Amino acid sequence: MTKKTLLAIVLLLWGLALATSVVAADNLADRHAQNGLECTQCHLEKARSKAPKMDTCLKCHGGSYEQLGKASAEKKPNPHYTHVGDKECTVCHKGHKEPEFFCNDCHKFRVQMPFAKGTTQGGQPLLTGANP
Amino acid sequence: MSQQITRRGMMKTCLTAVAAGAVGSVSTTAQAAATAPAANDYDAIILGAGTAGLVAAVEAYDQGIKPVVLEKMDLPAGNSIYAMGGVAACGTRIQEQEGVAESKDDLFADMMKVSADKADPALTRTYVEHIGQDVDWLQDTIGVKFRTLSRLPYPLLSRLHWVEGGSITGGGMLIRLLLAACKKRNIPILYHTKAVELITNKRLAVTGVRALTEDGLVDFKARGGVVITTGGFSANREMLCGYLGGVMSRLPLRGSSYVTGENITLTKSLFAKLVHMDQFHCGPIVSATHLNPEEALNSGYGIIVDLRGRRIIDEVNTYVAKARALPNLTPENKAYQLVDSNWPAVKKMADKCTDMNSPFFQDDTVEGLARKAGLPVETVVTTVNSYNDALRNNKLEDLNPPCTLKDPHAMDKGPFYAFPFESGMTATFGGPKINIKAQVVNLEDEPIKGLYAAGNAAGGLFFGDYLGGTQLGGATVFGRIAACHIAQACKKGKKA
Repeated sequence: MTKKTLLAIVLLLWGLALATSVVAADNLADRHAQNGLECTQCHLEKARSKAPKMDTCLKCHGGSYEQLGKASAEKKPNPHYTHVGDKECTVCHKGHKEPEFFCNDCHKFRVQMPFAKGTTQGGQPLLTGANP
Repeated sequence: MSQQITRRGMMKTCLTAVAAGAVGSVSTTAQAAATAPAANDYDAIILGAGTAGLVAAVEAYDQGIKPVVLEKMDLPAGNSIYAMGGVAACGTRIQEQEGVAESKDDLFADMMKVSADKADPALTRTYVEHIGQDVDWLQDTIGVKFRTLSRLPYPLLSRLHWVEGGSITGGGMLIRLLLAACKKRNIPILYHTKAVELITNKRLAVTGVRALTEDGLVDFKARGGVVITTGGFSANREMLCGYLGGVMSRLPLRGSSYVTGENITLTKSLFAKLVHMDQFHCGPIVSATHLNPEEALNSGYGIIVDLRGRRIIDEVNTYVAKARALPNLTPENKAYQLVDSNWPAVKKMADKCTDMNSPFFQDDTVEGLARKAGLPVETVVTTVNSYNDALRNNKLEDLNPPCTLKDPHAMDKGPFYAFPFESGMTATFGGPKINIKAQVVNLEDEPIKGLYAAGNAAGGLFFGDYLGGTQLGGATVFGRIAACHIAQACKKGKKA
């Protein structure tokens, strides 16, 4: 096996590994990268990287918070129309780590969020044997 | 969001006028004598974007003066958004249209009665004189939609005007509409801006506010006055221990975690007269899920048992009275409302728990129910049997504690249910005393010039309990009054 062949195989495997990691995107930022977005399309600040503001998210998602609320109106509870008002998107939808369902700071709703590990946020019934 | 962008823009304007680096380098507020550029000059500075604050902002603007709202959190995060959204009123257009007569004198008398005659009569009178037109104002100016009135038990009667919340709380809807009214008027609401000190002149009149922003300390100048609408101190454990003490100072919260007593910390150094400091409201809550089980406690069905399986209170009490008593009746501050399927709404209650993933227990037998709930089976069975026997023999009043329900029901129809609950803190009533112009008064009952308070930040209107719907009502009444008084002062060119 020539050096060139070996290098080609290594590069091929590396490429495959990269592709696999993209397919298995396990957070919001990876999914955005997978869809061809550059980091700077969400992270607008040049000085330091901060969580994007809702206006940035809404450019591609929903157009307005009101529209988001309408789109998720069937969910219980509607995460985009609550009594606490219009929270910044990244309060729940974390870019580079697992999502956190803000409502469950007080409540314990069973909610499936994108990129959440496991099947629920808020977990199982609170007391064994409860909620028949 | 647009308001935050507005705030940042204003901060930048401000900071260009502040010596470069000075704000970031100071270590105490005393050193941070930030100059107040024109961008931070307002007629009315309102602290806290709750019902009272946002009402005051809209009214101030409509009176022709320039208000600003400083809110320490990222959104209105006080108790309003947790409120069910009732406003108790008399003499409203809605009542007139629906042919309901609720008099000012009757509402006054009942508000005083609910407060054991310890509420300030002048403030209570002011409430009943203003609330009718203020409910109309909420409709006309803010766009609030109220539900059709219904006749409710005393003392609510036909007084309660429910804000139609749709899928959210009525209070949450009220705040959304007030925010929209502010946005329509371009009233700046500066989020992440926490008032840390009132600025006074040499006569101790309030002339502004020093606030901590994301960019450091900033001074805001108030030409007419500062309105404190920060709520009470229900989430300030140190204050609760100091002013309430004992078991009642350690209740789980029913509302906001951010109502932390700025009404006290900002005003005490100005010798504000702090009143009703040990007074508060509590109600039932499942702290783990924030489910309010009031329907079960008010159902008129079933019994309440503690973790030892024994009845602990006369079931005739209201859900508020039950919640208030609980911490002193049980060391765990926890009990179960046991009901059977004679209660027509039991399934609805169970569904509510299921929707909120909140614990409850169900079984076809009392034994099975007790076992599932982890309660002592024999004691629970004996308790239920004793209750049923006493009911059958017309001896309910001989039980210990007695049960004096006028229309008691047997517990004999499965399935049986157990709904857990705790007592939770709703709101504190104590704060700087205001007069009928919403001015904060000092210990000599003289107004502190330039200083106002409204809503649960203000002291005097509530004591013991409050008549349902008068918290949001009081916030509206005195928020508007404060704004009007500041506007008058501005027009006269002097500080009130």
